[in-house]
Amino acid sequence: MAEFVQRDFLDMDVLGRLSRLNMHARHPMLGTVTGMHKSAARGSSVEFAEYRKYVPGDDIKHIDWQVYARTDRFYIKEFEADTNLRCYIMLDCSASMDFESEQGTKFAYARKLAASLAYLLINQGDSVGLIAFNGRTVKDVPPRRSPSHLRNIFDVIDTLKPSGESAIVDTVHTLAEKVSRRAVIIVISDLFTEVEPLLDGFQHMRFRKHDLSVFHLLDKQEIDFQFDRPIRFVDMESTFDMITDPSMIKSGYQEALDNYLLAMKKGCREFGVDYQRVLTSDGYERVLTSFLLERINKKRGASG
Amino acid sequence: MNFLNPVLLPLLVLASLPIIIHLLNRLRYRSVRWAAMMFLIKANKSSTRHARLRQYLILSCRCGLLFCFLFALSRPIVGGWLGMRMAGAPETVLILLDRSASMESKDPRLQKSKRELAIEVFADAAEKGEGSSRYIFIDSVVKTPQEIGSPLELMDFPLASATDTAADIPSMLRVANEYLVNNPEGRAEIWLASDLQASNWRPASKDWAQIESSMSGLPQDVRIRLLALSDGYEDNYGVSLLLAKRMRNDLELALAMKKSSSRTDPIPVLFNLNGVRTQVDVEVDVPDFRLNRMLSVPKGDEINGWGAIQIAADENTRDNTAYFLYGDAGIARSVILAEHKLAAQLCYLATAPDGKQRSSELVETAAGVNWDSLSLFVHQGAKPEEGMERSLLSFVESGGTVLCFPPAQADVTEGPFTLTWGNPEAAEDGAPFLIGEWEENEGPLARSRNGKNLPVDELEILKRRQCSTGTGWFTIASFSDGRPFLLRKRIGKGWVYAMSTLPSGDWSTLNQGTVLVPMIQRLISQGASRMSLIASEVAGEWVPDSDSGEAWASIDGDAGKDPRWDAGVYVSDGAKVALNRPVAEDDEVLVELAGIRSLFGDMQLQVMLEDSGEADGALSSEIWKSFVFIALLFMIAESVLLLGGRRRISQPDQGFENRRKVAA
Repeated sequence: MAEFVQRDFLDMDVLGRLSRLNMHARHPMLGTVTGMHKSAARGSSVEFAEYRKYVPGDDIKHIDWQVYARTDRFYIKEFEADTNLRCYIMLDCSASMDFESEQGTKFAYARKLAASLAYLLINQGDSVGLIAFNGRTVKDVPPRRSPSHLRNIFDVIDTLKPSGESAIVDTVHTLAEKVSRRAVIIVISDLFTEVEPLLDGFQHMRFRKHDLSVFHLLDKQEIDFQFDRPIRFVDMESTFDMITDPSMIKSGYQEALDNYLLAMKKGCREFGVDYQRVLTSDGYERVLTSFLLERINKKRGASG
Repeated sequence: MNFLNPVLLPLLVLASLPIIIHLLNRLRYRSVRWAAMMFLIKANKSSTRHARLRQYLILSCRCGLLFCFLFALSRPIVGGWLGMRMAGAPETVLILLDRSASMESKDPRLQKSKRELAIEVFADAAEKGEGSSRYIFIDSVVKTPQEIGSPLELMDFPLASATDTAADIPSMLRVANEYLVNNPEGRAEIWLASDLQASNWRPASKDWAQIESSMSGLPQDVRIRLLALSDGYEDNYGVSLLLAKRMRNDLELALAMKKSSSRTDPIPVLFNLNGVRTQVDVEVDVPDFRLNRMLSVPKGDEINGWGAIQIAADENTRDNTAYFLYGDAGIARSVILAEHKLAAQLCYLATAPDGKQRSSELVETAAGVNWDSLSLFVHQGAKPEEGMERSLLSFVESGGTVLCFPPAQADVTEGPFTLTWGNPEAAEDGAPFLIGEWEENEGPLARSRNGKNLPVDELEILKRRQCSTGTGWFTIASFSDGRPFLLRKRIGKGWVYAMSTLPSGDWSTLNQGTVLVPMIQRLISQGASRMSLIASEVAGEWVPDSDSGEAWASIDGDAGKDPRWDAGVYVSDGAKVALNRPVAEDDEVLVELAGIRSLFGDMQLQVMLEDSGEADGALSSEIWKSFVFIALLFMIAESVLLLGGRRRISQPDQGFENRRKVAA
């Protein structure tokens, strides 16, 4: 625990408060051990699921003999199974995440989110992996559920530096193919890419039955675009630059941004993506609390 | 359009300040590392054109705002109905019309004289102005305020018709001032139309200071609008008579012709002698042309006769005719009463008595003077006793001429005709007082018949006494330091002259005679006309005695003339008078606008130059309020453009906000 305190992206008080909340998957998972998440497979818990006809190969110990006595037919009584989940945290390490304002960089914020989520998930017995990417996969930490794995993840997060261009679309497609079993995938990125290709990637994730969540990180200055005199804008991911008068271009900028955000939100809703637009000026504890509570409420609604 | 504060006009360049600041700002950029470049690139492609247009509009508004504001500070004035509407209608409008002969100069494009144009402008301004005003008309001849319904009536008003007189602008303004003193209610405007002829304005007169102070002290708000009709002649000739003298069967005529034209062809001159006409073509090759001509008087004619010299009609028909009378002028008698013996002797010699047509007499007292047959009375010394002063006044009122010299004794300060002499002032050694300006066109110091000036500027005055006068005195010669040298006042039909030095050698070089002799000879001729049945007078200055029932009728062929202001030859009970326009009316010297502004001091004066010939652009008003209003419109437009450009800031997902509240 003393090690956690020394890392600048960890706040033990925040983690202590967040630990009272569990993170639930929105879809049944296919885990390896018993856990707190609904499994896609039938299991042996106390919660009845359904009857189905006996087929050869079924374990005869699951035949409901009382039903056989009444109907003279074999029926298997199935129960809900609880399992653990595997979570992949995709952390954007491109240079655009290094955009800094009074609230700090987007990447610092992303590290806090990633580390806190990893802590919570491993703390509740789930497996967590980390994929750090920019134009390529910078780090790929496979999911594990042991507490010692958490230290590995923190060590990797600690060493990451934002640089290069972002290839989030390729990374999403790659991960969708690579992860064969259902998993929770959390993307933490500023998503500065074309909307349509990215949504294709999200659709790919959806097709692979992954529970996809996106933390869309933005800085307030990127939205407000408040400048009072001509600026030479230098692209953080390339050498491209542009000298312009912000007052002249502001309306066009905000229109393009609004269209982008609207399309992103609409697409995410369409493909069942848990979309969270986050400003770096927001406290990350609040953001995570809201994220977790939403999932808890959703589960309660489904069970009720 | 004119400006009351034209010195601020160069500041209009400040209106380009927003553009300069914009350009400087564009050069002073800073670098920012930016992540969301994809939106910048899209915005640059899609909305730059609209944003640029918006920005240019904002810049235009800012420039316009500054321009209008600075323009308003320079107090622009515009003419015509626009100016009237903006200024609002005054309670009283006093219309002062210069009816002098020079105002009859016609604009060749409009074929209207300056006087007619002024009346049109006044009528137009009154018609288009808002509200109702009382219109009081004061003309330059009668100078009596008359209420009229509208300036439109002036088109056919007899007192607004053309004349051969001069105008006295200060006198007209004094009459206007008296009217405003007696009628102090409401805001007033004085509409003055003049051609700015210097002889009419008399800018050196002390009257201006009095006018300025009394008008500034008026309780009501008074504004003066001057319609300056100062266009000069393009193609005009003027003729005037210098001398008409009968010599047995011949008549000697000396003419002065003034040319304001580039023409070189001879012009026809028509001589009318008692109705018999003779035409001569004269080649006028210099601007001031002199012509001497002898005409034969038919035998058997009476001693006295009349005549006229006429040239063809041109831009100004009022300076195309000169009238004259000829005949026996009678014996011209002079009397010199002087305490200073040498001065008396010199004056006596200057009268050049010949015992026939000129006789002269030196007297020590006025007791035995026969005033009835006297032409000139020369007085030098202290104020005469009361009985003699009454006789002197009566002599002048009947047409006589009096020349007053100052007393030689320093302790004697009072002279006749309310003259007061200051202490004798001696010039420093080697630096005598010199004459700076004098009236060259008419009067005792006028040019000679051959057009040459009298050597007035060569006079050296060693001692002088400043002459203080009452009202009605005009300076006809002044020292180079501005103090008067020779003054003149009209009393009744005669004239009184006052000189500030003595003709003796210890006072001045007048004793050399080059100036003194012609001056006194002319004064004798002037005074001699009172005894003659024929007289040559100046139209406007000579007034028929209406109390005695005199009925003067024109005999020169135009019966519709009015002897009060029309030049011509008139007869009444055997007496004849030839009236001509004042010679000064031919003078094209104008008062400059800067000079006119200084004459009116701090009074509200708006000058409208009538150089375009457009009557609608005449009477002008300040329109700075309109420009302040336009500046406000620019300000509002700029605000709207700025606010319209500020879009609503994109907010995070509302659902997220709600969830955050729940979590809290």
